[in-house]
Amino acid sequence: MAIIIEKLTHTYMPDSPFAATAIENVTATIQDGEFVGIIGHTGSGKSTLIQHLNGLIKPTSGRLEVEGIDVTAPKADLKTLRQRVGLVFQYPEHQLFEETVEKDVSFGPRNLGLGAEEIHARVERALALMGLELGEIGQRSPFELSGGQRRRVAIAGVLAMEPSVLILDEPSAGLDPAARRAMLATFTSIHRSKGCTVLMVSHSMDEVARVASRVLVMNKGHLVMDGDPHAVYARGEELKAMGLGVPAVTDLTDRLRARGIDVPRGMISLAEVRAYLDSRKGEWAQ
Amino acid sequence: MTNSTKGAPLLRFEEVVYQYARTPGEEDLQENERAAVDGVSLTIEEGSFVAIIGHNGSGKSTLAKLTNAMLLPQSGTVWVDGMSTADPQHLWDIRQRAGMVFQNPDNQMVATIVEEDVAFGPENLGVPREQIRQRVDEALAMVGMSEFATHSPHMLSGGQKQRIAIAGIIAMRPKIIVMDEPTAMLDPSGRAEVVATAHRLNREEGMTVLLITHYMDEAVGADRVIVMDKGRVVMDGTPRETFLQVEKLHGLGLEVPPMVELAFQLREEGWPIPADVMDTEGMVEALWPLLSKN
Amino acid sequence: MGPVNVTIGQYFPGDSLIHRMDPRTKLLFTILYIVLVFLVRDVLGYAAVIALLAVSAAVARLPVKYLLRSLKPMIFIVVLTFLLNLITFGDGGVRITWTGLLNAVTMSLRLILLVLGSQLLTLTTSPLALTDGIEQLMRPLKAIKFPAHEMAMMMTIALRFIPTLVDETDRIMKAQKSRGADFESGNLLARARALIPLLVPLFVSAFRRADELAMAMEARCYRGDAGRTQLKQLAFSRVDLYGLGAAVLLTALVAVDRWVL
Repeated sequence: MAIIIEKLTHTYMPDSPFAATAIENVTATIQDGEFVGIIGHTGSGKSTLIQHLNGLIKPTSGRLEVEGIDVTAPKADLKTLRQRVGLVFQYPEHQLFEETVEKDVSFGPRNLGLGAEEIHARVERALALMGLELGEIGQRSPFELSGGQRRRVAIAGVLAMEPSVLILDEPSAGLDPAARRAMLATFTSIHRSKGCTVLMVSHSMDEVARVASRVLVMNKGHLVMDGDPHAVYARGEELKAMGLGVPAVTDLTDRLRARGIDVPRGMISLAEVRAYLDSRKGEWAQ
Repeated sequence: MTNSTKGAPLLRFEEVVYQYARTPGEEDLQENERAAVDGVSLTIEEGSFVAIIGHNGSGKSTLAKLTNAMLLPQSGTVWVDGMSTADPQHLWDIRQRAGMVFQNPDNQMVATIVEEDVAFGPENLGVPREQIRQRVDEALAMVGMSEFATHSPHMLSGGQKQRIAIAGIIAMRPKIIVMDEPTAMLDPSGRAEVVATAHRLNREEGMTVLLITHYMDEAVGADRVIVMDKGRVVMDGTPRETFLQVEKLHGLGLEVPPMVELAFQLREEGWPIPADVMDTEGMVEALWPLLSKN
Repeated sequence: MGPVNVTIGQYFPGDSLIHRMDPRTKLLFTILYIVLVFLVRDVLGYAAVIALLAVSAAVARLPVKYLLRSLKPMIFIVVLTFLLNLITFGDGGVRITWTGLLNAVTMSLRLILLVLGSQLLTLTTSPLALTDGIEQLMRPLKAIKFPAHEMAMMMTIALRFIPTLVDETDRIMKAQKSRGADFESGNLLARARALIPLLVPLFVSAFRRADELAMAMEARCYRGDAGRTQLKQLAFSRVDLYGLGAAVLLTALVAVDRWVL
């Protein structure tokens, strides 16, 4: 089992007038190899939740076990934890600092104390996973690359740790649609080829619908929904009440249903709606 | 505010060319932000809401910076309200008339208190004190942020910060607001807030709006959509005319709004979906009569 | 993102007499107060200074807890000052003397009073009002080409960006920690070297922000202080005169007490 979260609660600045409970009583178990989408507003607690998963912040109460490591234990092995759980922050290109791409990507493996050969091999593999070639850009400064390439280099820096759990905090924020699509495709292929567990925080319902096999919905610090995307998006009314949307096609089917048409619930992709409409084409096309 | 001569040309590009100098060996240095504009001619009418779309590197941000003399054309002319941006005498008049909202909400706020930030523009223009007060209050009311007047911008959401930035521009009483990807860093609710604010200003105050974005769905409500690619204008028309050319948009690496895509696919299959279906509402109206026959 | 709270110069909004005072008055008041803290030398004097501070804080309606919190980051320095004054290195060892103890108490008390006094200023004056006040007070220095407006603008921008950069530092630090960076262990040299992955991105980001801010300011017609007006006018009111009068009087009294009597 990859991640066991039990009644996790985190309060920022407890015992002060600024005390704020960011997450409360969150319980969930994530199995090895799942691709989980996490959605919620800014301030819903999703960032706080994922930062717990590699020990960057400690819970105020509750229990957390990740990859067999009890994170809540007083002497948890954070070093091993952080090797196994790769966390990609928002706008990760802002954390680049080395003179060359190769050096930057090798920062993680160097911190693990690996040998030169192993480091080199890992850097090459990590860049390749992100669709970049070490021979081509390895000796260039990360600061002279384009925005999209910089982000890919930064993510490669996390992949070079060869984590078994990959956490992505809005990896496509600020990208244009084409780059966004390409970025998502990259993660789908990494998930498939490496078999790692992926947790992806996203604002975009459509994005999550496209890639995740399970969706967690956070609202005001609570985990309010957890399930298969079809089941979660079937609860469109509740999601809208939380100020979250549903994928555009789900919204379409919801509205058709409200007008008295018997459309099945839980469609989340264009292809599904197309298939459904095709099945009813005969009704009017005689 | 500016409900004067609706329809009169306010902003005009004549064969405008701008290219960034490149250091050899650094071909794609910051390619997104530093794409050329290559012979653009267009006219924006007073009172209109125009969306400019294009992927990163299409030159749309460079175009934005040419509108208020942040960049000067290397050849051709940019006219703002009858003044050429190349004429240094009119620099400040041009910047007052063409206000600009930028992408990063954090990096365009000067002051630590919301109302003092909104006052920054009028202060620079030398507006008398009593009038600044009035302009600040009006501007904050227009973007629906009056209750935050004495707050610190740091604790506001991204969408709220962008509305403050818009208020800061309105307080300068410009004739056109140029918004350079104002929603690129926001979450969906922040994006909706900002786009709705821009539409309200256009509708209720007659403000001319030039919205530069890479989100197609933000262009749906515009009067006119201009599509840029490789520094040139490649499409220019109403949203309906533009979105009908789904294949051409795909070819440019752009993604059409989901309902436009669905309408396109259904039409291909012979479904009678009207050409003006661009959003969910329209799609429901189109499908309902077909599906409720039995 | 965790909500960060930066107490440096954090304004505690209010509408008290002190809040409404002209920032220039409050600045002059604070300068006089500092002079006062260094002039007084007996129990009565300290009692007067503490009373002045307490009355001001009460008038400003500041929660005591809020005011005292500002001392937290100073505890180390206060304790150090106390110990350094307390201990005398004499012949043959360390001694603690009565004079030493008295010195230690006075010096630490002065430090605490200085911090509290300046905190009172920054808690009751918005940073922008404060910079306006400083600019106005420095205006006469313009005659000798002192860039008063530019200084004030720099201070405003610094204050505006401190919370943003604190957030950013926190984020980059966490990002590098997730890549196995260790900021806490090792000797001084190792720790200094460990800061590079933090400092380089921070500088890059600060420069990028500065660049964008400069562009946004120019787009809003900023061109220095030539022909510039201001939303908030600084105006001396009767309250200011009374406050300033009282402060001058008090300082004079203490000065007389110290040198004449």
